[in-house]
Amino acid sequence: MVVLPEGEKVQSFRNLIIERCGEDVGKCIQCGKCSSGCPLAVEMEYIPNQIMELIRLNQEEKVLTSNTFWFCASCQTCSIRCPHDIDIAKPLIKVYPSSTRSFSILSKAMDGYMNWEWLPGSISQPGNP
Amino acid sequence: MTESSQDENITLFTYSEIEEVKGFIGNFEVTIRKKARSVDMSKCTGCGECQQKCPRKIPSEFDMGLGNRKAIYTPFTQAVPNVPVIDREHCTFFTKGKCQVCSKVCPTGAIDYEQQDEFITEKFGAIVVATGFSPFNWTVYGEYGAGKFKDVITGLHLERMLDTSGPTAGKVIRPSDGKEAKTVAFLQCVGSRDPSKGVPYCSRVCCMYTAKHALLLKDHVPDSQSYVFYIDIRSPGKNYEEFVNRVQEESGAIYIRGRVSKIYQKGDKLVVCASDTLLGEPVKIEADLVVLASAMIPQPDAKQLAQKLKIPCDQFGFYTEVHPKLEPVASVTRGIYLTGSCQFPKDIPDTVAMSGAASVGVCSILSQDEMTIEPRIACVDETRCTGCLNCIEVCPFNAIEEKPINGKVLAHVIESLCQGCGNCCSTCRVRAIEVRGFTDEQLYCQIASALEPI
Repeated sequence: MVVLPEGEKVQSFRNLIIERCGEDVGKCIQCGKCSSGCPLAVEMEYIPNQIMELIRLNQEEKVLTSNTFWFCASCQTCSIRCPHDIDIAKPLIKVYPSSTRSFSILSKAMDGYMNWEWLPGSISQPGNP
Repeated sequence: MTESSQDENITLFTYSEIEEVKGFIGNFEVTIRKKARSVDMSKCTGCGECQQKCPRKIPSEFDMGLGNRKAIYTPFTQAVPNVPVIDREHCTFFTKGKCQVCSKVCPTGAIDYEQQDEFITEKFGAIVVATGFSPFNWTVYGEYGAGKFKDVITGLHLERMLDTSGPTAGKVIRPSDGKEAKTVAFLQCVGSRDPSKGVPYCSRVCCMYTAKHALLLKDHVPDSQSYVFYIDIRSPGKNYEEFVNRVQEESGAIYIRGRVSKIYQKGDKLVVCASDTLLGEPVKIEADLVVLASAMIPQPDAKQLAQKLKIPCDQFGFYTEVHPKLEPVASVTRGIYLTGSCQFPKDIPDTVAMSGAASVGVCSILSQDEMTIEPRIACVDETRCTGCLNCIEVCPFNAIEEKPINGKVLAHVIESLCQGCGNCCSTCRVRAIEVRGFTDEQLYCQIASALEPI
């Protein structure tokens, strides 16, 4: 169940993405070309177009705890093929690791699986785990 | 509108209805009922004194009940002509026999309580039907509150609220408590594309006006947020798609693909439940105001008017054209043209374009002394006709009339009306009436040669 916040608060995650990497998910028309071209979409909890939709619906926690980022191979096929020229891979590669909030959420998600303390540096330098 | 009322070649019959239409192309004889206005149009100066002093207040139809009007009123300020009318159903004088304030304050003595409906018959060369549409009664949707929730309104209500000279002076408020609406949910396809509610067609204008409303809402209430629940965005037209994209980007309207399943009240908020079909997950929002894009349906009396005009209409009551592509504005009855939403749901650019086409069609009739018509029409062999006149009954175009010849009454085809359908030919017992080019003899020859062994 997605519960949408009232008033303008719903734009906060979308605005954060614009601020961080200049990509506006508001342009997305949900054609699904990104997801159908993604070689790893079958493994993902939320496929790329659903990530765009979730960002638009301000579902920060759902986005950051999904396994999509861990399967993303950074091949950028989605970005190249997007008919509205949204660099879809950018939010996936850059925003996620550089968000401090994502680490706190991530720490809960990854707790017990591995020692995640090495992640911040590792992700922010090459760009993707 | 004012320009047309002042043109010397245009006569406006306002507050009037068509009673009867006789005749055919070039010779229509129309009986018009000029309804009793209770105000003498020649005396009234349009000062508006009567409307100010009238003590009776009634919810205004033009303002969708959001504002009030008086019992003596003009529907809206720019109405043409600027002559009020007394609403006899609500007027205190007509219901209780007392009051007469309007006649006391009228400086020209234009109020005439005794006025009766007036019938006039005039001749016309051609007719353009532009009777428009009426909004769908959305209260059939129990899941949207069936009209019980005050804060569930339609696009027309919102349109009146967004008008700076409207009943709320441009403020978007919740009708229940008058507070400003911050979170607004727009529901598209309410009625449209819903065969279970009797409207299987797309109403065509809702996608665009909802986008416009989302944009205007952001202008009027800068800290508002709109959610648009849609099935498909249908934006075919010049710059339409760009406009919808601009609304999503600039005004931040969030478009959610999925029809709303139900609305219920929680405190003073309305909870809108839907499913985001792109995400595959249910969605819930607490909205201040819900705006429904209700379907466009024909006028309630569209079918009766079709009978008066002898023009065909479809199962819903939309008037049908001769050919959807080649003759989109002409009705099957010659000399009658269609335009606007009485034909099918249309937006403003389409209506303007088709109105232009209809008026040019009229001009092409009125500018000629003689008309070229199709050669395949029925003709009566007067030596055979017995005068049973069965053909008159079966003719769908009323193209056959009685004609006295040598003391007998025989059938006669009005050539400009006949469409060559052949109903009369198959009805005639003595084969006295035949369509030129399709005589019985010709048809028998065709059948015989088709059945000949090769």
